[in-house]
Amino acid sequence: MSALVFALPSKGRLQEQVVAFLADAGLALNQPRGARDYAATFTGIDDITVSLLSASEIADELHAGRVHIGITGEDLLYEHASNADERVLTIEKLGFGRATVAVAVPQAWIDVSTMADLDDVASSFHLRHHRRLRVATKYVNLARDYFAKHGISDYRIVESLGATEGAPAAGTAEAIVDITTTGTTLAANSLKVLDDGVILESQAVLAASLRATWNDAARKGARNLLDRIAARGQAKSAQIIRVRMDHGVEAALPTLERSLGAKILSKPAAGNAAGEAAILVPDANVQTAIALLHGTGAQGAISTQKAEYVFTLDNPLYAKLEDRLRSS
Amino acid sequence: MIAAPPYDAGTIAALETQTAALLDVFQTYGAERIEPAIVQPADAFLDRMGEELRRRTYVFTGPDGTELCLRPDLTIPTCQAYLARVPAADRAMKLCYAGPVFRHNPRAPDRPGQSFQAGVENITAANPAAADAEALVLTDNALARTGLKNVEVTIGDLGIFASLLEAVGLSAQWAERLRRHVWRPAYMSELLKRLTGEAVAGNAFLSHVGALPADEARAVLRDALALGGIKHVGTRSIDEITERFLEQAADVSSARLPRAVADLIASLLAVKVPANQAIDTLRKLSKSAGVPLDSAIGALERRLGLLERHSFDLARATFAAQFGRNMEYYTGFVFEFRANGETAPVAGGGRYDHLLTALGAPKPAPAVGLAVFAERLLAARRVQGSVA
Repeated sequence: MSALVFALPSKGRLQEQVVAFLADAGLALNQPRGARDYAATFTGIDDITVSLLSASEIADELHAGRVHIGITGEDLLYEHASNADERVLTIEKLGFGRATVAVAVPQAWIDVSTMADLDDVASSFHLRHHRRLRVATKYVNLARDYFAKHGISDYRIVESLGATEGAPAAGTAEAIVDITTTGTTLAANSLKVLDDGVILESQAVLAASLRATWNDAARKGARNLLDRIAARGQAKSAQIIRVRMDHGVEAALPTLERSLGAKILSKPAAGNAAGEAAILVPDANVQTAIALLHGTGAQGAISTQKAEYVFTLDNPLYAKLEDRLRSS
Repeated sequence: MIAAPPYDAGTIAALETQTAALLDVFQTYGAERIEPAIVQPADAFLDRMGEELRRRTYVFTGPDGTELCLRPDLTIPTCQAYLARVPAADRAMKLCYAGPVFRHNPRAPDRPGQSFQAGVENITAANPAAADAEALVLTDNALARTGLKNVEVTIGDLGIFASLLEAVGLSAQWAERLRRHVWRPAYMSELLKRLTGEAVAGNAFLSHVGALPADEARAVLRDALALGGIKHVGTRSIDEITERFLEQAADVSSARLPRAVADLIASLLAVKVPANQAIDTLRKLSKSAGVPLDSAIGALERRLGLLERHSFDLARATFAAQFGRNMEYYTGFVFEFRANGETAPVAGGGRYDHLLTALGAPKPAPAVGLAVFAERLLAARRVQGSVA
């Protein structure tokens, strides 16, 4: 297969968010055989094959190198391989699909508020009950790593494939490691998260497999995909400031770039004081930038405008991928 | 998953010759050869070994639904074989084995998940000190028989730390806590800081409840739970919870360790000396801190003396107090053999006095064992040029 294989979640809330995110970047999903088809393309783009999989399969496929780029949850990426950082590169955190993977115990355990307390309890539980304290979870690897980090060894994991938060009440485990978004489900089950029990603040990520075959066609597809995502990303959180190039404006440009994260999109040829420069400035810094330009003696009106997309030659997302592929 | 490459004819022949040499030494010592099944019921392993080893164990469901595993270790099945033969655990027996064990390496999942081990378990020997010394000497002889030279030996003794904790009069909770974390230096020093009162987290409620008589304190806690509308779920009883809460409360008001004792714990853990200086060093430390450790140091001294009587030169070995083999079932004298400056040992062993009881022995059945890691040994011999 020569084209880039891009994997997207095939169902649920995460899929809706991903489809909206891509549509926003001008990538319209085209499923010729209907919404239940698992292969798709983006309208008008022929070097990207879209593969619709469950979020969990996407994590596996990225680790195995069977897809080049995918969108899935960080919790799954880290759960599905202990050496995830050697196999997968997070190109960008997407800001949606947020959830927390955490260690929770019954609220009635008023003697337990930290992992160190849990360690003590695990040890005395073993002595008293002649069996290890059980921790129900579907995040077996994340839980083991986290417990090992806190030096807890006197426990046993019970794999749970659903309704983990009910395990303590059902008597199948004493504690749990589970994902929570608001904490209401935990509270409803009389559970509380330990003070230092947050294992991972997870969100949806755009991730690239370091084990996939990155031939020219795949790189071209990746560049194409990431150009569109970066163009939208750059436009979304920034405004374009237009200013006439008189007086000290030219000299102020390096300061804007250095301290306000600005990017010079275009400027007139040297000496053309009547020409306009276009400067991309992050939303938060727009007022400061304008004040700074006024301070340099800019004479004409300064205008700002919102762009739909900003395509630049240097694409930070693609550069990140290229860097990592070169070094591994 | 990539299959590990097959062994070539030369390696197979070299491993077989090496195993035969090891077994010959073990059997001459009087150990009876057994071969535990490769496929084992998973339960005994999972209960004994903890999650760190469980994640390295190949666990699967048998066609009849039972949970099975490929044996990740040969000590447990060998002990089970002993118990099957001597259910009362009242007869001393030496057993030896040679065969593959199976361990997945999650950090390097493409590495082979199997390796060969040969070892001895010496169960309920009448004289534990003699059995410990013999286990180390037997390992040394077995390695020498294969032609391995210049081995580096490390000796440790978990008994010393255990009696130190007993001697300084810590609460059971604190002693247990320190024992669990002895192999984590950074956390140990944090715990010692807490014990010397440098970093006690103040909790007014805890101190208040801790000062009450036990019955009253229990009643206060029950009321607190009821007032908070906290539903009790799970298998840990309210009594268990309040009991530990009160222990914590007592800890806050009484957990204090004199600085000199905390320093002794820290400097004792830092001891790493040639084995022939170990006893002197430990005695000096114990004397200067005024904490008597005579019986534990005496036990180590007996073992080291026995090693010398077996013509083992103690100057060849390093005693490291911190060294405790992070395998949960070791309880006393422990040792490891290395070669060519490698960090991974070619052999190791030690005393495990509680494993057989945990596996169902009706009375205490102390034991000591050793294992040789065949591929590492072969690699070390190849580096030294004693085998092709």
